[in-house]
Amino acid sequence: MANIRCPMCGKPNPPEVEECKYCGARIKPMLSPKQPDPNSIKPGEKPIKRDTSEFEKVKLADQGTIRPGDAPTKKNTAELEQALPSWLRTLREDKSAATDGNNALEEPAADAPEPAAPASPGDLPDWLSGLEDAKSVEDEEVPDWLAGLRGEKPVPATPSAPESKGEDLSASDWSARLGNLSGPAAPEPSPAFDAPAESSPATGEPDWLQSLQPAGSVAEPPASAPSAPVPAPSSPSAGEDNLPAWLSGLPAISPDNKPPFETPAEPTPESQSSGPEWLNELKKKAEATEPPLPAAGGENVPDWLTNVGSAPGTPSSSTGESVPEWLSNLEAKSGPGAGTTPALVNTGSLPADSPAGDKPDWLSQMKADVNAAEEVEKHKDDFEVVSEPAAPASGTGPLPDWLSGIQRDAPSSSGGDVPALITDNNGNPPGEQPDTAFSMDAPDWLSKLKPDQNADKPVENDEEAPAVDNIDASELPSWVQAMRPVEAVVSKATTTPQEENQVAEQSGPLAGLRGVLPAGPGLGPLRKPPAYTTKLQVSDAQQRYASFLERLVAGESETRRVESKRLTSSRLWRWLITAVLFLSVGLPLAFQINVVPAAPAPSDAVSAAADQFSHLDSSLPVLVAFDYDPALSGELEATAAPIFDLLLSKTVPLAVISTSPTGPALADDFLSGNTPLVMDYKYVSGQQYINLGYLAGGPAGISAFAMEPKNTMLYNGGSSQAWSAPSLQNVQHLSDFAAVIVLTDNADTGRNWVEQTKSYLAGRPLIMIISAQAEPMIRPYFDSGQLKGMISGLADAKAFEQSYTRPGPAQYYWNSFGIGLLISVLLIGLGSLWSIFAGWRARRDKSGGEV
Amino acid sequence: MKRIVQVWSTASAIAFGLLVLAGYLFGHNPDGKLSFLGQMQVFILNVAIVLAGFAVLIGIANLSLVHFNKIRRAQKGALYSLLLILAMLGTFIIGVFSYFVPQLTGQYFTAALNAIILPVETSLMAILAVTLVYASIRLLRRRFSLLSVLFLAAALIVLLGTAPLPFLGNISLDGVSILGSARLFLSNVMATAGARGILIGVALGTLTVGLRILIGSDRPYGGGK
Repeated sequence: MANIRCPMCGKPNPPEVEECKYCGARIKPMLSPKQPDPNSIKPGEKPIKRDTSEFEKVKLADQGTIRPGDAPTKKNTAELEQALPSWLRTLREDKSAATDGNNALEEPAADAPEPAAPASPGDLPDWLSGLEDAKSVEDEEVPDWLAGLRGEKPVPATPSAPESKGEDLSASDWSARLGNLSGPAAPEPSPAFDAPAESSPATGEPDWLQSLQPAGSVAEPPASAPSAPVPAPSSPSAGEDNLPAWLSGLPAISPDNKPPFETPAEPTPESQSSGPEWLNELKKKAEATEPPLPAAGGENVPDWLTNVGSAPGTPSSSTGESVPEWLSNLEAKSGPGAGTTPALVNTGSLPADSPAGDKPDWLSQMKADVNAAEEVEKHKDDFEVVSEPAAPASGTGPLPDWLSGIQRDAPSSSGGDVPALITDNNGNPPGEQPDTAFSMDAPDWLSKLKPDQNADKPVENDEEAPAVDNIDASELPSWVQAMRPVEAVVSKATTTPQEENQVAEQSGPLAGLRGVLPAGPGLGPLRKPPAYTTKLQVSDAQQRYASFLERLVAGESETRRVESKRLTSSRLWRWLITAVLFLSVGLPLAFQINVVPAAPAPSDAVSAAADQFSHLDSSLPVLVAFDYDPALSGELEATAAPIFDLLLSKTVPLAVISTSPTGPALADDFLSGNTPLVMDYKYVSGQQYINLGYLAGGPAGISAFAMEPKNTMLYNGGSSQAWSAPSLQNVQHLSDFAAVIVLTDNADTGRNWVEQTKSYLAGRPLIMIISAQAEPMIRPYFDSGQLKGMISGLADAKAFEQSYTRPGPAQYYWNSFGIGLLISVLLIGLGSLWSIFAGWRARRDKSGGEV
Repeated sequence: MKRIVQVWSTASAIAFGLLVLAGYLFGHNPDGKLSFLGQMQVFILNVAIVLAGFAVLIGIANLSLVHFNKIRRAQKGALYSLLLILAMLGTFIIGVFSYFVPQLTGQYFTAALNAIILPVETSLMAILAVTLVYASIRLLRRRFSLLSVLFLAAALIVLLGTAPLPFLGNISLDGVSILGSARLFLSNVMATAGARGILIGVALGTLTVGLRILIGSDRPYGGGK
C-alpha cells in the first residue's frame, strides 16, 4: 500500500500511522473524507442557520471555545483537510519530499537584500505545502495563467481548462473565489472579479488577464525595470500544458529571457502579500532554485520580478523599499482620500520593515475592509476593466495596460505601460487622467488603502486576522463558518442598552445571541447564595464601647485598694475620756450622790402600760418574751424591774419564752436571780413561771406559737411537759394568756411579735418593755394602738417607779445616768468645737497660711 | 436533673406559700377552731421551726469545723479557737444532760450566764459608750459638713432631753421643759416619722417578695433566680 502524505508537511508516512511522524499532524481524519459535505454553502446562499454540531464533535488539538475578545489561535485543522477544495488537496498531495531540500524558501525580508535562509517546510502553510512539489510534477495540472507566468507560450484557451473545472479550479473560479474572499458578508463577488468572468466566459479568464496576453505577445522590452518582482517559475517545463491560454501566451520567464512586459500587480514586491500564499511560495521556490540576483538598491525583490524588471535600461528602484516604484507612484498619486485600487490589485506599499507577509496584503486589506464590500457593490459601475492598454508613461517600467492608466499621472512619471485596469467609468475614456477614478467616486474600501494604513496593518493582519475570517460567507464552506470566531458575529450585532443587560450566549449554537435563554429557571436568576460571615459586624466605635464596658466589668471584680488614712488618735485623749466617763458614772453610783432631779411625769405609753397592769386578770398566766441580749440586760432589767414588781405582787403565773438562744437563761436569771425588786418574790421555774424555752423560726415560730401554743412548744426547758403545769393547763390559744409582755432591745423582734400575734390576741394587751434605742421604731405600733403600753429605757422606768411602785434599780442608776449623760454631752460638745478649730488649723497649714 | 430540682423547688415554695396564706385567711372555722387550712398552716410553720432550729445546729457545727481547722493548722489565734470549741462542747454536753436533769442544767446555765456572758457583753457596751463619745468628738474634724453638724446636734439634744441635767434640773419655760420637749419632738416626731417610713417600706417589700415568690417570679430557693 502506498504511503500517505501528511496533509500538513507533505511528507510520506506509512499507511498504518494515524499521525505524521514528522510533524505530528493527524493524517487520518476523524471525519470521513468521503462523506459529502451537505453543509457546504453554495454561492448566493446565506451562511446562517446551519447545523454545525458535527464540527463541534471534532476534537482539535487545542480546541477551545472562542469567546468574544479572545484572540484567534491556530488550530489543528488536519481533520478538516478533506473539506479543502480539491485543487488544493491535489497540490498538497503532489508534494514530494525530494524537493523539500531544494525548495527551501527564502524568507523575503523587505529590508534585507540578501536571500533569506532556507525556510523549513514547516514554515509553510499547510495548504500551500503541496505547491512546492507542483513544479516537479509533470502531469500536474497547472492553471493556464500560471503556466504563462512560467514562460510558456501563450496557448489559446484549451478545452481542458473548462473541463478541469470539476477537479481544479479554473482561473475564473479562482478569481471569483478570491473575489468573494474580499467581501466577508457580501454574497456576491466583487465587481472587480466579476467583470473578467463575465467578459470571457468561454475561457474563464478575466479580461484584464486577457489584456495581458497581447501585451505579452508583443514582447516589447520594458521601458523600465519593474520594481515589483514577478514570481519566476522554478521549472519552466512543469505544467506548461495545463496553463491557461492567456498565461501560455506569455513569454517564458527565465534569467535569459526576460519578460517583455510588466506583469500585473500581483507579482509586486509584496509578493508575499499581494498574491495568494501558494503563489508567493511558488515565487519563493523559484528564487530558491535560481540564484537570486542582487536587487538594485537593496530591494528585496524576487528574482523573477527582478528578471522581468531588470531589462536593460530599466531603472531600478533605489528607494530601498520593497514597493515597486510604479506602485509607489500609484500610491503617491492616489493620496489620502483618493482611493486605491481594489483589493485584488492592491499594490499598496508595505513598509520596508514589515515582516515578510505570509499572507497577501491585498487579501489582508480586503479582510480589513470587510464592510467596504458593500460600497463596492454600489460603485461597481464606476469601474470597469479596460482591456485597452494604456499609453506607457515615461519613466515607468513596462506596466500592464490596466495599470498604465493609473500610473500615467504619477508625479514621478515612473509608470510604464501599466494597463488601465481600473478607470473611471463615468465617461472617462481609457487613458485619461486616472486620478479622477480615485478622487471622485472612490469607494471607502479604496480610500483606506493609504500608505500609513498599510504600514500599520500588516502585522495585525498577518498575525491576528486569519484569512479565513474575512472570507465571504457565501463562499465559505460550512465548516469554515463554524470556525468563525464568535466575535465576528457578535461584533456585528448592534446591541441596545436593554440587550446589553441581557446575557449573551458564549458557546453552543446560540453563541452571540442575547436574551435567548432565560437567566434562570423558575422564580428568578440563580446565583450563588451570599456567604454570610459569622463574625460580628461591629464598627470601631462599638468595639471601643465594648472594650470600655469590658474594662468596667472587670474593674468591678478587682479589689480596689483603699487608701488607708491612718487616724492618729490620741491615746491620751481616749484614756482621758474613758476616765471621765467612768468617774462620772461610777462616783454617783458608788457614793449615792443624788444630784439629778426626779424624772418628769410618766409618758402616755408608761401610763397606758401601768393601766393595763393594774387591770390585769391575775388568774390567767401572762406570757413574757425575753428577747434581749445579755449586753443590754442592765438597761432592760432595770427597766422591767418595776413592772415585774407590780405583776409579781399580784402573783401572776408567768410563761416565759424567748426567740433568742440566751433568752431562757436570762429569764431564769431575772426571775429567780438577784434582780432588785424581783428577787423579793422568789419565783421558781416550773412552778410560778414556766420557761417554755427557745422558740426557733423567728417570725414563723412566733406565728406558729400564736396559733397553736401547745403544739409549738411541747416541752419547757427540760423534759417535762410544759403545758401540764397547773398555770398553763387552760391555755389553748394565745388569747388564753392575760397579757403578752415582750422585753426586747431589738425593734425587729418587737415588730415580729406585734405583727404575728395581733390576730391571735383577741383583745389581750401586748405591752413592750424595750430599750431606749428601739423606741423610735416601736413607738408607731403604740401610736397605732397595736401596743397597749410601752416602757422605754431607764427614764420611763424611773417615771414608772415614781408613779406606781417603790424605788428600784431605776432610782439607783438615775444619778449615774444623769451625770453620765451630762458629761458625755459636755465631752462631745467641747470636743466638737476643738475638732472644728483643729480642722481649720490643719487646712490653713496645708494651704500655706492663706486661709 | 437540675431543671427538675429547680421546678420542684419553685413549685414547693409556691404551694406552701399559698397554703400558709390561705391559713391566715381561712384558718379558723366559725366556731373558732382551726380549719384544715389552719392546721396545714400550723404544720408547715412547725416544720419551718424545726428546720430553723436545725439550721442553728448546722451553724454551730460549721463554726466548730472552722475553728478545728484553725487549730489543726496552728494558725494565729488557735488558742482562742481551742477555748471556743471546749466551751461549745461543754455547753452541748450540759444541754444534753439537761434533758434528763433539769435542775442541774438551770444552775449551770445561770452560773455561766452571770459569770461569762453578762459581764463580757456588758463590758463591750461600756466600751461602746466611750467609743461613741470619742467618735462624736472627732466627727467634725474628720467630716465637717452640715449633715455632720445636724447629726451631732440631734444626738446632743436627745441626750440632754433624756434625763434632767444634774444640778440644773429641767430647763423649762412656762413649766414646759425645753430640752425635754425638744427630745420628745425629736424622738416622737422626727424619729418616729422616719421609722414609720422605714416600716412601711419594709412592709411593702415583704409583700412584694411574698407575691413574687407566690407567682414564681422570684425563686430564692434554688429555682434559678
